Amino acid sequence: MIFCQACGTTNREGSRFCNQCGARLSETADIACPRCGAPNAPDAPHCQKCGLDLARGRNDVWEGPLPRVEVPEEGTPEAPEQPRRRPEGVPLRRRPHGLPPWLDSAEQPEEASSELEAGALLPGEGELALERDEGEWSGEAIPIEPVVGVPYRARERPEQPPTPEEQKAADLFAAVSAEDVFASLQPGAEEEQSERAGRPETWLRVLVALTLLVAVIVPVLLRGGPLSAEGSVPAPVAAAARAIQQVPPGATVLVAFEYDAGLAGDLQPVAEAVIGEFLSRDLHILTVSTQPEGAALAEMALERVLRARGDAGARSRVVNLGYLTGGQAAIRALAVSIPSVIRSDWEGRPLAGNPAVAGLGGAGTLPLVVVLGRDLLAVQAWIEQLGAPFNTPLVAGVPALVEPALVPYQTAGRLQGVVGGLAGAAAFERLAGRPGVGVRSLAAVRAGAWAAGLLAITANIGFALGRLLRRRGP
Amino acid sequence: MLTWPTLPPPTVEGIGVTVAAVLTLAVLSAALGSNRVSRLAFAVLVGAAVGYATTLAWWLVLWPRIMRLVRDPLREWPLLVWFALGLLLVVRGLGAASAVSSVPLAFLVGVGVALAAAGAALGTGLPLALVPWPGYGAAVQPAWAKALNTLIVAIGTTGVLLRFAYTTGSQSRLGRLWGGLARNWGRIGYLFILIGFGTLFATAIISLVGVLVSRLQFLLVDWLLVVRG
Repeated sequence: MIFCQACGTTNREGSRFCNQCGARLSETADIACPRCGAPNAPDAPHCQKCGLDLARGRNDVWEGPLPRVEVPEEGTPEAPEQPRRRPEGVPLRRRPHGLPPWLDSAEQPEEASSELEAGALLPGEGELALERDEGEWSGEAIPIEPVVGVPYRARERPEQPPTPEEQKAADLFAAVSAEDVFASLQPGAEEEQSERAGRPETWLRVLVALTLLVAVIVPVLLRGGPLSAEGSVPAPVAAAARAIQQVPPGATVLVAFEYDAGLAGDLQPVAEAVIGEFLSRDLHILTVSTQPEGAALAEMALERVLRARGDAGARSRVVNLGYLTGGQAAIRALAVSIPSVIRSDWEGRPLAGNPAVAGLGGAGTLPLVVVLGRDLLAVQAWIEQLGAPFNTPLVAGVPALVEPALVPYQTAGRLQGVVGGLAGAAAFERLAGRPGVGVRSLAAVRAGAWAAGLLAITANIGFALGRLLRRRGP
Repeated sequence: MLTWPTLPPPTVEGIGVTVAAVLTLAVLSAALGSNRVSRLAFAVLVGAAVGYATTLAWWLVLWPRIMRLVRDPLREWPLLVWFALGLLLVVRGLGAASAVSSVPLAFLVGVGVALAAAGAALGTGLPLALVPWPGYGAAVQPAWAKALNTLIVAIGTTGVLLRFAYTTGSQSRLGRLWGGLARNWGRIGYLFILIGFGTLFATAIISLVGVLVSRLQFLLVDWLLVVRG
């Protein structure tokens, strides 16, 4: 080891500059002690660390004169490094203990190992006390550096050509790195991309759009057709209908409108079907929403149902509580006490004195709460803040996309039933005996789904054939 | 009954329906590629949604509470605390003074996290974990179906997790056994992933077709009055 005189850092034998501070090492050509490796002044009679008699040149290993750790002066041409060979006649003493083979390979450069194995070379400059015993280095005779964290910096590695996979990955990385990520955000970028891709993409878009439009418009115009045949009622929808039937007449139920206008097409029919069933059972209805648009959608659904029923008196049994801020905290507060959270309805009329809310405590005590949620999180919030803590029966109305995600909650008993999308609304309307928007839309939904499925299959077959032809081509 | 297309009468509601129909057609035109009309419609919809939410928050949340405080300050004085916390949130963007907004933020985050954590544990985590337990949950399926369902869920869940086990252990006998198990069981998990994504794709199509149907019904029935009765 070589100690830096500037900062005291320990450096590997053969180092010319300090690993830590970069200072040139051994400016005074120190002599390394053959026993412990400590640096000593050239004229020191004894080793400063182990006390070995350096002046007499005696040591336990090498009987010859002590070599100097030569460091060329700055500005003088360096002599080419020559591997130092063990002088003839110098004995190698056997040591009972040596380093393990793995440490041997870790300590020595690969290119020198074969010659070291043969005993022809010394390991490096300044290492005087080399001892070998059947391929193992002696831990007593040479200074042992800590193995953990030995840097590889000083070791030159031959440059290996990249494999084809590595080259491919590097090319891809270079191509992606060279892309202008902001170009696609500029106006007209999509058109330019489409132009570069060629016209067929636009034609395909037109074809797909026209196919879907025709498939959907025809059943809408015909109000049904062969695809409007009644199917079996899904079990979650039947369970939802049973839960509604168990609510005693005259009771108050809550409907939460947790969706926005984007999903109104899929959820508004569910809302109208459920509200229609509540009104036909002489129930009082409260509607509320933690989404800004939900309150207006609730008002729209109520108006449509009341207009379709032609029952103006039913309006007194419906109260739109409006928009509630606060997310999950608002739901929990509503579950504890409705009057303390909401004091007026959607139109600003005070709730006090309204027969629909007379004597009501919290929403947690209601016999049923229907959550019309745009996604799983919206329904989860009501389950976790109202259904589970207060053991309130819950029914969910969700888009068809979300329906599978709610099956575990129904299995666990946290949801009494689920009405999923237009198809669910149609099944619910049939169960209730009042065909509405859901039934009228069912044939169009089925036709659109069939068309989309056939388009997807056709596109996949075309993609597979194209790839096959490209493989067979030149 | 099919009739010739007729525009709604020029009342406030009729004009609103026509504007909504034009915006609907503009959004649907995006199916043929992004264009100026569709981008304009998107901008109008996003802007209207933000403006609507802001207006709603003012008229339904802030204004009634301000009036309650003005009318009966002795009874409604707790509202002052909430107004003060709200004002502290407003100074969030005022440089050095923004530090005081940490108080209402801490209140909001603390209450929110406490509610969400407790609700998730009692409403989702625990009930769903107990579903495989015999006798727990709703009797929506017979016992054998529940057992089979639980088995499939267990196989699928572990398979999907093992699909993403990129390390195959050491070269010892145990390590090789684990590597083979992870590889082969992971293939089963891959099948589950494919089935899951296929199901999601199918349900997404049905959802979006439902939205398309509702929009076309709006155009044909509510706007052009093509279908009556």
